[in-house]
Amino acid sequence: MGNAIATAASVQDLSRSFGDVQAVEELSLAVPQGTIFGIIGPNGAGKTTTIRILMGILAADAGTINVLGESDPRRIKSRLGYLPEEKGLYKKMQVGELVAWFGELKGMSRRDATDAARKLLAEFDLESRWRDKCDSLSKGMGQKVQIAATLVHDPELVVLDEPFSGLDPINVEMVRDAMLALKARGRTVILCTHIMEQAEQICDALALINRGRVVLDGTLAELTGSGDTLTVEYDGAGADFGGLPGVGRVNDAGNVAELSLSADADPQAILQELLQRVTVRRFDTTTTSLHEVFVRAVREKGDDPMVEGEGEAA
Amino acid sequence: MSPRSVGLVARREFLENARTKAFWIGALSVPVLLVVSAAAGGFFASIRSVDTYAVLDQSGWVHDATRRHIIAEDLTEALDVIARRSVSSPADASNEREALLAEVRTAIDSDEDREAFQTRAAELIFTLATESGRIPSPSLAVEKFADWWVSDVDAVADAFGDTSLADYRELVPSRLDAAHLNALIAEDRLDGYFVIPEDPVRSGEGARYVTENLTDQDMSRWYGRGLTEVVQAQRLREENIDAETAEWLNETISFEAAKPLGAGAETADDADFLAQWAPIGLVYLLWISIFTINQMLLTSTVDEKSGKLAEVLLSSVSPADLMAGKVAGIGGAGLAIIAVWIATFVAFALAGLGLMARAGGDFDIGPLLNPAFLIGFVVYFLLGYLLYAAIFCAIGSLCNTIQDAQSLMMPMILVLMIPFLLVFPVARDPNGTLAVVASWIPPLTPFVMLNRMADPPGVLTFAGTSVLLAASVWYSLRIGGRVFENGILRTGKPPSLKQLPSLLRG
Repeated sequence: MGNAIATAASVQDLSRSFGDVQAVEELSLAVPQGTIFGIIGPNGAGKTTTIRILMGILAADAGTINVLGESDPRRIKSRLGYLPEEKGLYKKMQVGELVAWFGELKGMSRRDATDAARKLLAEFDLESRWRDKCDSLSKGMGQKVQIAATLVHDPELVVLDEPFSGLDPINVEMVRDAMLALKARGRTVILCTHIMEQAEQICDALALINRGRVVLDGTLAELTGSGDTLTVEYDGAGADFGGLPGVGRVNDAGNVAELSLSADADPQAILQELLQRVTVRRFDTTTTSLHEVFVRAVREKGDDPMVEGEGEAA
Repeated sequence: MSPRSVGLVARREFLENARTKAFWIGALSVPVLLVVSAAAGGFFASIRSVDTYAVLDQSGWVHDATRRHIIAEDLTEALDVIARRSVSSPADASNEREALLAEVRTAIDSDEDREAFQTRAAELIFTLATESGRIPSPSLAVEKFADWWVSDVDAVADAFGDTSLADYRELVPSRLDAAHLNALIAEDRLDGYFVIPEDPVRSGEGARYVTENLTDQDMSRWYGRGLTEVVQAQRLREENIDAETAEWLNETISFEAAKPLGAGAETADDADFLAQWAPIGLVYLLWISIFTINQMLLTSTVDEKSGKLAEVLLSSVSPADLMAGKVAGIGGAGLAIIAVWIATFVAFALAGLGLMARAGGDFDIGPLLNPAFLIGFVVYFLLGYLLYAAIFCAIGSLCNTIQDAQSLMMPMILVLMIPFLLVFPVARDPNGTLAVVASWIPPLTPFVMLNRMADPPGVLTFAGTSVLLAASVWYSLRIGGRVFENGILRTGKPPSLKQLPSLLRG
């Protein structure tokens, strides 16, 4: 990404370990201001450690940080909003009281926090639950309350770690709209997720992380490119895609397969060959999915996605 | 550290606790317990059954003598109660009984009058009781009193709860033989009867107490004590030993408790004994307070960690602010409970004193309200709470469940048991080696120093132990804060002892 774009947050050569586990190693990334930026990677890749450092919850062992122009994020906690992956509520607090209290914690007066909480809960269709105790909420409602508590003070930079987990499709849409509204107001959103499709749908730019390092970053268009993948939808459960001309890696999901094409591949020749093997229902030239981009990048570096270990704070 | 953040966390912790049933149950438990105890005491007193007895006296005289002895003892008790009453004119009395008691109070104003009154009343009561008679037109106070005594025994027992009439009544049946008395027992009209042998002065052999209820020997012991005194007096007479000589022979030597005063000594009164015991009560209260409030703190920390709240909180406040807010908020909630307990206790004590004063009693609560005790309690509570709070918070931050926390708590509970076990040894010897050494061990200091306040050590000891305790609190908060900071986001099992140093490093 070009340096001309203003960055809301950046880290340079960031490292952090927990005992013998190196959670993040010389990681660098820059989050453009006013965008939705995805930090993507499998569990244990170092996403949570990176954002905890950005939020001033953890200290880095090495590297430089810049968040909204500050090198120490602890000084600007009131300008940041954070929804962690592991979400919880004070069960015995009332919904409205809880959201307003988080606003106060971020420096708002009680009256302003209460007004903002009322407005935000109305946007999330939770106004009628103002006096309900949090333990009376469904999981989806609870998650919306947590998001409201994250946004109540109108932060300049918001980090949402797996915000869609546990939500039904309608609520997913509601949260997605909230993120887009933040972006429209010039706020910066960092979306942390291991579900590539979600990031693909909403992010303007992304960093793909594995084993504590950035393996790829850039805008969505830069990462996925154009027209180098064939998507084939076919009848049946699995098929033999071996030996197709000009086809490299195949990601076969059972009745949909993604075929990576070499530069000299001829889609027509591939289609003719495929028609002799399976009943083709759809045949499409598309951009490469993020999943595919990630797997290729990891393989090129000779890595495997790591799995999160027990006992570490990452 | 941000005072605003600490205050917000503290406010939330206080309100969350104050809204729980456990808080109100804890706060109201002592008042309810006191009210229930008082009510239960009154209730059980009101329903206390009176045991009935009869006496088969084969000697022909011992029971009458014992009756006189019992009447004399009861009269002494009753006249003591009447003598403690503030004098009021019979004309001002609210009812007939009050008027009679006021008249008696006036009649026993001097020792000579009281002795004469008691002798005459005893004679009248004995006569009326044995003959089941009444005085036709009593005019003198002693006559009215004796007549009331035998004609309204329940009222007498009610007015003088410490007399034997409140517990035991003699039944004089139409026939005094074993068969008839056994039948009365079988019919539940008699609880038991005594058989006095022909010559108990020579030998008590043959004395029996016949009853269905062999487990309750209270009445047997009570009557036996009176009878023994009568028989012993007779034996002394037969040996030509006069009563005064006998009393002198039987006199035991007991030391009267006194306090040093200048060149001499001053007799210790009830207030002095209370002053000696008050610190022990305060140590127990301190122990319960520190233990209870820190348990609340531990539970809250574990809840916050297991409820996945710690991370979102730490994105808004620093770990130090979070821990300080929790310690302050939960400490405040705990203090509110203790304040309710103390206020209730003081209110009950004052109400009790009021009742005692109306009944003619005299008791000084001053020692309990000694400012030194109260200031000592508050200071040692704050320092002791903070010392343990940091440790409990640190333990809570490492555990996802209360079960995990309990195993890590075990060493702390063992440490907390030590001051509990030291209470009486220190109270017995507040300046002994054990008390002095324990005072300088910070985890024990708050309890032991409070315990020693009955016989306080010098100012230097107070200052020195307090400085050491304050330094320990600071160190404990620092170390506990470090563990809390590094432990609160930790996942998985609690760390082993080997892993603790890495937690302190961060």
